[in-house]
Amino acid sequence: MTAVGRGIRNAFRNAVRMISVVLILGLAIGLSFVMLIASHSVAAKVATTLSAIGNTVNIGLPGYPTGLQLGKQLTIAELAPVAHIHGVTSIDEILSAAAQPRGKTQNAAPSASARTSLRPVNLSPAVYFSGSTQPTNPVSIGASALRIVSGHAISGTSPANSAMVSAALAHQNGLKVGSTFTAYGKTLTVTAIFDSDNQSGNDTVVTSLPVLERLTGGTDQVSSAVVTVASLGELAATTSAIEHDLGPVASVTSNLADASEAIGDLDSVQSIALYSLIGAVAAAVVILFLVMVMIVRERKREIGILKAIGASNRRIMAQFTTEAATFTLLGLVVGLIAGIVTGSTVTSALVSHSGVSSATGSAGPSGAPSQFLSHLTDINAQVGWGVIVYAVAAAVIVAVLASAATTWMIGRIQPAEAVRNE
Amino acid sequence: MLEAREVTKSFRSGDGTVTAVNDVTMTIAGGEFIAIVGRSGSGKTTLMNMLGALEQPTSGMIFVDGQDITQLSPGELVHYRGRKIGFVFQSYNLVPNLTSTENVMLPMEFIGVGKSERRTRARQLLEQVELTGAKQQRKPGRMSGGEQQRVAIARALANKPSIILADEPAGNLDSQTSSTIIELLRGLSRSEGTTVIVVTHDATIAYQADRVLQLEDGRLLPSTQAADEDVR
Repeated sequence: MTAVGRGIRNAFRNAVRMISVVLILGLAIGLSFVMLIASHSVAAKVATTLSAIGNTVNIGLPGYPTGLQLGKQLTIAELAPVAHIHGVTSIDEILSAAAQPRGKTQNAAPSASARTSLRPVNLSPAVYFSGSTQPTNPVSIGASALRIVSGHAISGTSPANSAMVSAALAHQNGLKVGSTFTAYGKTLTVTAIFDSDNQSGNDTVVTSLPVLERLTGGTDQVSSAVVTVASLGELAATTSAIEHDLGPVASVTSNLADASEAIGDLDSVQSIALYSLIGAVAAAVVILFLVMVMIVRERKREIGILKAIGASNRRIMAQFTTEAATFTLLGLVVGLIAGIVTGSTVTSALVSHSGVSSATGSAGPSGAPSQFLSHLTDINAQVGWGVIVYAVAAAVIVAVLASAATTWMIGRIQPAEAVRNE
Repeated sequence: MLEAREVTKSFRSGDGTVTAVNDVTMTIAGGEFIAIVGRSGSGKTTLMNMLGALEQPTSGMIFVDGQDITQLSPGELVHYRGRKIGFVFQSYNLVPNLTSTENVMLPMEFIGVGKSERRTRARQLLEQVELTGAKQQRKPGRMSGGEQQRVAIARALANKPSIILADEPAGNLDSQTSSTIIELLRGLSRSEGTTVIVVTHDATIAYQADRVLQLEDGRLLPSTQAADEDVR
């Protein structure tokens, strides 16, 4: 039997102590593992949220940030200075309009509304039109994603009476690429069918800006604009600059403010998880250290005898380090099981008690709760291999640190003491 | 051969210094069976610890086979204890969760003997001290004091040491078992040529020794050689 073999066997020498130590260590390691899961999950959510924000600024009329408004519109001339602001890379100018389906009676008669041959896909009587200089920009339909399912996207400057319809509208109305429908008394041809990630997007027909201007008679007018900024880092400064240039004529918003508040709460969850993780690992080190000190003191005579019969300090240290590592390994197994079972629940509890949920109700650019913030509390705590590797590394650190002091004690034991105790 | 020259060991105790072994000079030939006797506190165990390189003398030199062991490095001391010395203790001091065979195999593992070779030799040694069959697989807790001391003697012999140091080897045994153990040590001294140094205060054990060294207040009495003859 080698020193390693004796170390493993010694770990099981006292069954009651072994079970107690493993359970306590397992609790500490399990807590650190859960905090590791929470920290990683929250970090992943923050990263996803930040990437979902996008580096865009929304410009609309005051009271109508980017949504449909009737009557007064922004003019192209008013928006012209925005293109020259530092950090601005492109501007998507959008004209929005609502059209009633054929046969429905309108309560009012807004200038931008007309009857269409389309049947809406939901209970709303309206079908929305969006004329955009960047028709594939999802923000122009109030969504965060727009994917062309079939056909080809239209050009934002094309004068042809072409349109993109959502898959839902196409299905509801039996449309496919090449089909036609009527709106504003004109016939439009479907050149593409798209899919978006929300209901309002799927209720919208997209045309080029010149086409919708012609259909609604609103030349050189837009309902809103989406400005793309060079980077997320420049978003705040560029938003302020646009606000300053446009003055009270427009409402300028970005998702950054909403996101900062919500992500700030998530950051606090991550900090709590990180400090708890460090605390749990430190607790595990202290627990194992005290146990090993107790064991070394208890076996002081045995260590002296081993030295007397020819064992080197290194060999005895290896034996006790193996014993500590065995405790840690068993504690790790218990901790991993506990962590996997409770990780998701604890992460959800931490997030739900952090105030993140209250921030998610804030209005987004279209007046509805932000698309990317509405799922902020929906954190999926997954136990990846990366997290497990970190947990194993933490356990190794626990074993090494706890053993270091033990080996120092072993080195100081004089074999003569064992004999003198006779 | 073992030779101690003017060996002194002092300890600091409170405000003063206690001299446990005081200027001891002696020579022990190979294969001798020596008894060191003296009252409690006379310095017997301290002298034995220094001969076994478990502690260093304050002054003086100890030569074993011509090598001054007081000048050895810590690594060389480990080597010396593992190969040259075999210890037998009053309380046996076996590792409780190892079997008899595994206890005897321990010292051989420390000097790098292969597993199968050390198992074979451990069994032979246990048979030599008359422990056979199932007793070789028993753990110390299931053995009598005499059996445990036999295992301890087998362990002391494992690496074929030139010197066996036994501190009150029969101190916890009844008189009959005590006699058997001492006879075993004496037989080893004769058959293997191993030097056996027994620390005892038992006159009957001292009586069986080739020579008796008497310590009093840390000093080796000058009448020791004559006393040896008297004891015989």
